[in-house]
Amino acid sequence: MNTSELIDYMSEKTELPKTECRELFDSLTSIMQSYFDNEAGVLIPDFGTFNVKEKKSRQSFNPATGEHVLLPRKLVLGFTPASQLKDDLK
Amino acid sequence: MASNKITFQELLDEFSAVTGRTKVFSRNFIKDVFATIQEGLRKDENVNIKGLGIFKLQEVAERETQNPRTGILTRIPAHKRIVFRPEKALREMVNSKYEKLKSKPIKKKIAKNSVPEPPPVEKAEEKPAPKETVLLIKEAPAKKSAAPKQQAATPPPVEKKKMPTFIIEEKKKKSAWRWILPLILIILIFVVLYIVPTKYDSLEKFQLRKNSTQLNDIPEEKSNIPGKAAEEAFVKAPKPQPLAIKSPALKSEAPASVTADEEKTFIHIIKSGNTLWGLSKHYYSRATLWPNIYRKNVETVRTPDLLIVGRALIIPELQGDAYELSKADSARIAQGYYLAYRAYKKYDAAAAADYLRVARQFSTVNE
Repeated sequence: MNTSELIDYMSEKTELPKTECRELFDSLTSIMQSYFDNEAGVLIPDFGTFNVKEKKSRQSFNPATGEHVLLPRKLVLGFTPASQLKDDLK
Repeated sequence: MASNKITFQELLDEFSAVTGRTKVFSRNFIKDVFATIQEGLRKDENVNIKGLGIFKLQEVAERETQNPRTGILTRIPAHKRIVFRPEKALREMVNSKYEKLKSKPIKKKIAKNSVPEPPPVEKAEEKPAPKETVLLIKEAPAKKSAAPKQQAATPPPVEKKKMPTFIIEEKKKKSAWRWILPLILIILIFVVLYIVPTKYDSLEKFQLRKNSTQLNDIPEEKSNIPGKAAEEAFVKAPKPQPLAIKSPALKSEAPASVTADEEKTFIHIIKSGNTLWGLSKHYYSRATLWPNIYRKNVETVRTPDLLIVGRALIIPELQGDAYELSKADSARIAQGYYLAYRAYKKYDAAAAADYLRVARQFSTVNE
């Protein structure tokens, strides 16, 4: 499934034109993105939690080139599914 | 770290504010969006959403886990795991705070590691003389500054340069330690040698009390012992004295057991790894004669399998050849097997019966 299919579904459900649905959807994702940008997570009931975590810097090794590299610390967006979602899709 | 988490209510409020829709509508809309994602996951196992990323279902194979507290094995059946990978733009946006940090090759790190490593090694070598190590370390940096170019370009050569200076100075100091270390060792050996005999003295006294009646036999035994002690590599200087007093203990058994022509004995101090079997092999060159040793030491050894390091074992000599036993010898060995049978009977009567059988064999050889 991709975004356009999702919007097709949504327009069927809400009985709104697709363009309007797309606008609504885009505003939803942009709101969520703005949260993530501010290192905030979002909890969506019965679906899961999006959370931003900081990963520590670490050394890594490229076996092909034999290079040791120090990777910097970074912020990562993660997703933890809710138990309902997990059980549903088992 | 994401210290703050936005609640669904806050998301709703903002969404309705941005879109100008009612809260009821926006609640239904957002819930529907994620419900359809869930539907899509169930259908295709793969949902790609612009602006967020890819949700995927990943197969997880069946596996077993053990509860470390209870040790119970439980089987986790094969299932599917939900994986979310944010799209590249989102990943970069999230990480914008650390955007400028780039991964670095760790050549420098390796160099840093290699520099601190050598000092501990050198310290270990010089442990006996801590003051001198301080001096040496001070001198080393001076050499470093003398050759700064090489240090910057190639760290390893600098270390090489350092090493010789250390070695030369160590040699001077070591020469002193060469004398002191052996001295300490010698003192230790003397202490050990002093402690070992005193232990035996106490043993002697104990057994003297026990066997005070049979002290008459001692002189004869003594005459035997020195010769044997010299033969045995195991027996060390301080032991001849203990031998004399141990032997009466033997004698106390001997008359009861076999009509003894005087049995010649010597002492073996039990070392780690010794077994009666092994000792018998060593002294008699026939391992199966081990009960002969056991017979002489029933009181101290008890269980033939348990020899205690440092204790003395009385080892009787065979009168004849190990493979053509004299009557007296085989009778003694038969008795030894009988004693072994009695010792093992406590643990496993059926298995111990074998010893009884062997004991009979040896006694019939006699006849």
